Amino acid sequence: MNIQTDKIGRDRGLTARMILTGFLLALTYIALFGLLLITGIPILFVLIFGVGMVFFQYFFSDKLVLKTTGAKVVNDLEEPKLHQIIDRLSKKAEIPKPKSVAIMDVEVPNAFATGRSPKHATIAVTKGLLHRLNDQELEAVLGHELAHVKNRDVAVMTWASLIVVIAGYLMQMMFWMSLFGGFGGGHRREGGGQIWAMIMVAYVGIIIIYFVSQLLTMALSRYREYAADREGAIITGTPMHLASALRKISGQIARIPEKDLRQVEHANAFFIIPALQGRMSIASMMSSHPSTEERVKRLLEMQSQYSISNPVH
Amino acid sequence: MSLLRSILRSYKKKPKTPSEILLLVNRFANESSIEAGEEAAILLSPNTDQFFNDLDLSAKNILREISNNTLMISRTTADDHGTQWIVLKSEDFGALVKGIDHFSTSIADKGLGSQMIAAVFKGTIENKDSYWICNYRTASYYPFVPIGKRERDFDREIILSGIFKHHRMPVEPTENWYSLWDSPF
Repeated sequence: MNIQTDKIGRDRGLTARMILTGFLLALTYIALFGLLLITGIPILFVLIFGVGMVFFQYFFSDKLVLKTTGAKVVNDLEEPKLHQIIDRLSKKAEIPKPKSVAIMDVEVPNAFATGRSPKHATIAVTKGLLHRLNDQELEAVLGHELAHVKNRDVAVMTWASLIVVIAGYLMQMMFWMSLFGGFGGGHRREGGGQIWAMIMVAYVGIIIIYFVSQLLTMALSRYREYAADREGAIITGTPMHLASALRKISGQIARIPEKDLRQVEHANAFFIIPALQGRMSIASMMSSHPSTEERVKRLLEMQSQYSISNPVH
Repeated sequence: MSLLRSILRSYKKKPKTPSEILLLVNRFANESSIEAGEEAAILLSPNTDQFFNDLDLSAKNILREISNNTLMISRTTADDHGTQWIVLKSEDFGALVKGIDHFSTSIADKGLGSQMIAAVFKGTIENKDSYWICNYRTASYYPFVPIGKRERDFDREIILSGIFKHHRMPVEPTENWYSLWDSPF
């Protein structure tokens, strides 16, 4: 069934959460640079290093990811269906067709988009994804990946994670300095104790900033996933097919048993109490992707929000 | 959906009693892709109690307690697995659900609650037959969508379970989505 995409509005709650996360991330930057100023750690050096790392990632991430995942770029003669779908969806999304389409020789169903802009983007899918999804589900997943491209998520997340890179680098640097006496321990008798205490405060502060910025970056990443689900569903017009694809990719179908209910009745197989599921766990806070359940729930909510133009047969 | 609506929805009272959980099936029967059927059943694991010796009479006795003219017993039957079925029928899905709830409560009141396996509702999703199974042991629902004689339509089952969850119904973990082949309705 297709939804009438002209009736889809902006998810204000999601936008508000993204803005709040961005604001909190900006606060961590202020906290970090404030800490560096107080303790006298050279900001310029740290900035040059951090920005350099991020620039490298920003400009070479597509090549790097293709190399590390072993994805092979395929042309439209090798994979005409994949190219046709991406071409059609790109037009619907009003973005240029991504520079390349790649396939990974892996049976685990998955897909990703990389590249700093639509012009430099690459969409990659695994063979497992092509084997397990039907055409509508494949289209839904490609719509989701194109939404990442359209929203420039690689660029957004690269820049958002700059603080994590800098704080992480500082944390490591200070750890090694503490091991090799770089904190000026030898000068404590000449009044260096105060400096040492200050550096320790900075060390603890940087550790806190690292973890807080990590949490915020992961939260932002999850919000971008929700946004890509939503945008992808708008592009294809079928949120339920993305919901179905997500369930398949998560391996849920593989867990459905073959036995009949009456066969297992006598074995007391049903005395299984569903585990209590908290709304927020540490694992979910540290995850870059929201849970499949939550994504499917939102997609189905989206499906039910809009009028149905024609049923699937 | 507005933020306020989403907050209010998350604080909606969760069902507690088996009866409340059973009645939840009413929540999603009006989904656009879903159509509720006219029959539903209780699946029983019989023991030596007189109730199961003459299931037809036992069912009629319970039906007499219900003052609803639209509800009737479609049939009572035993299957190859040694389990028994009481199949109810009504054109009004609400009355059918209440009827199943009344039968369940009545059977439990006779001390036979542990012999009840599941309440099974039949309907369609995107015009395909589907079963919405409420497991009495875990008080949760799961979908079963057969295709032909021995195949399952996992895609539609997944979509149905998503709809259950969307309506805040307790859903059985996927590992327990046991099939129900050759059901008598």
